[in-house]
Amino acid sequence: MNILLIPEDFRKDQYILKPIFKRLLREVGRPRARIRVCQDPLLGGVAEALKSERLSEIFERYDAMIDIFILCVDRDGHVQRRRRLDQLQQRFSNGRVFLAENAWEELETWVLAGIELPTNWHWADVRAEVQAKEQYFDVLVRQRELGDHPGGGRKPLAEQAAQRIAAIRQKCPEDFDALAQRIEAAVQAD
Amino acid sequence: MLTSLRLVDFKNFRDETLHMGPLTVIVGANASGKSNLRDAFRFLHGIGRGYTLGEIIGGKYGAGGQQEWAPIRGAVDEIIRFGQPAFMLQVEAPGIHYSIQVARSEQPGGVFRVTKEVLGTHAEEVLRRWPSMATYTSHPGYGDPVQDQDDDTHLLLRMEKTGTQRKYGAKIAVRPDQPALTQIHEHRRVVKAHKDHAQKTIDLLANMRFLDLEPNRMREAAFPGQTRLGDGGENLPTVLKAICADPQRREALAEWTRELTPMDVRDFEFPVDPTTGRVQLAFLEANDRRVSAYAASDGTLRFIAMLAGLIGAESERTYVFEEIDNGIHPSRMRLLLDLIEGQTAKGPIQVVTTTHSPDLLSIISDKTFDNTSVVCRREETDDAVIRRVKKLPKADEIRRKQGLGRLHASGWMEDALAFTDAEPAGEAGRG
Repeated sequence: MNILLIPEDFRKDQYILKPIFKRLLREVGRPRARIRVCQDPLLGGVAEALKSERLSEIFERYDAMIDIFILCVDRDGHVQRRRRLDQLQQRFSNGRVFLAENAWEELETWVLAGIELPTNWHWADVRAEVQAKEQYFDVLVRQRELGDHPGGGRKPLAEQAAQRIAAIRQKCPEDFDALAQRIEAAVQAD
Repeated sequence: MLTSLRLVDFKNFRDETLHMGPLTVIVGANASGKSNLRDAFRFLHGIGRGYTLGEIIGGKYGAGGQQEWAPIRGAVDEIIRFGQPAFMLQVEAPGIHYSIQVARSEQPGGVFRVTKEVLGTHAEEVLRRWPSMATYTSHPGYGDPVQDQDDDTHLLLRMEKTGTQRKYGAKIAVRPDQPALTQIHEHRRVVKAHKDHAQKTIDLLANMRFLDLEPNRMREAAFPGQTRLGDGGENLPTVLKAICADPQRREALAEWTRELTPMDVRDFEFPVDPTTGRVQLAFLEANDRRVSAYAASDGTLRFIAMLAGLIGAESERTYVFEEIDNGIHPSRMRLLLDLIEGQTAKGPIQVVTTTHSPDLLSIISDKTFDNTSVVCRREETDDAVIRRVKKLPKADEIRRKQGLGRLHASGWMEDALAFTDAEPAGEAGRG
């Protein structure tokens, strides 16, 4: 099974998405799924990633070889973003499996859900924080002195988080778990 | 002109083939295996130079102790793919099929020896079916006693049957530590036609050049009469001087230099250093300003050295470049490509180059696109694979709409290869 992950900016997001989805696919019965992150240099922000023409180009390039396309962007506190993702899904789901999800509120939140947090941090606060990257993720990276690692510490932390997919699903039911369920359904239908 | 290079268990290639044309472009991420391809070309070139296997792989030193051939990169064991007993390289060109298999003795400090070698005029499929049609072969097929050879001290060859021979062609024995290709001319039982065919193959391999241009070497004054461009660009002044002896080529050289560089070059001058007697290079610009090679930019000198190679070559020659776009401004890329595609189209030059440049890939011709390959490592096994880009799903159609440069910059070729490449036998599983 071939899966293409489409982030809004691959430069750092790839380090989060690849290990987490590789592990998720393993847990839903596809351990040998081939997972790649789309590295289109023109995807340099959520505005570009949500443009129909940009996605059309990606589908044109990859339709012949991909079983599931997964678009993952940050929600950034925009409650309307889900509606835009639904529009894109409706437009592009004809003849392909295209799943779009927004991480509440940032992709880094999924990583934080999968790792041991400092005891004085409350998950409800992390989950509700619009700027989870600055307020929590970057703080943790500094505490653990991982800033010089690939992706500004995202690679080692995401690999660690990927070991606890169940925790991410349980702590992020509205976004990650909802997406995981849709992936499970797509895998079963394949 | 070489049309294909097949690599079996050579370095990190399991069994891959590079298809080649007048201009062959190779793309791939760092450490994907592009330099291993260059090593394969160097190995074949070493054969053309008449070296033994030990010299080709380990380096060749002249009578005065000077190094005349650098070793193939990597540790001794690394030339053969991990866990395999031997590697094989095979090249094809019009009227030439040549393959050589090399193994290393299992003893500590074991030497390399040729375990199989075939030269023919026919394509591989024909020779596999009718091995006796080979000019020579160490494996002529079952029923021929040469097929079962197990003598480590010699490699037996069956020559192609000639008119007077009834069942088999001549059987000859050669040293196994050197390719038979460069030994058979010594045997009196080898007929002239076979020697000529071997020599044609040797010439093909010997006429490769591996330019790795270094601007400071190109700036140096050259000894008078040196007309061979060094791999680092040495002797550029005297090579250009020789080219400029022909007024037509002198003007072509000046025109291309004007086009490709910001200099308004009207002519070239070759002043002689009064102390050393060596020849220097200077450019005479339209305003009569004289610019010495010492003041010329690195990019300008690289251009001019490439020009010297491409315009100056008179015999069939294969140039192997690494990153031909290195130091070239994107706006000049089209001119460089025009020059190379033009020169290679009319022969006798063939160019094989790697590139990381989306700008260059965006403007290659359809013919060059046909001969563009991507090298990539399999994630699971670390083996390198080579695929023609045109064979990737819908590559030509997508390239026309989105541009090959953008596909390259987005990693699409590597993605397509990873998603569509069949896993080696025994490694497939439920995805």
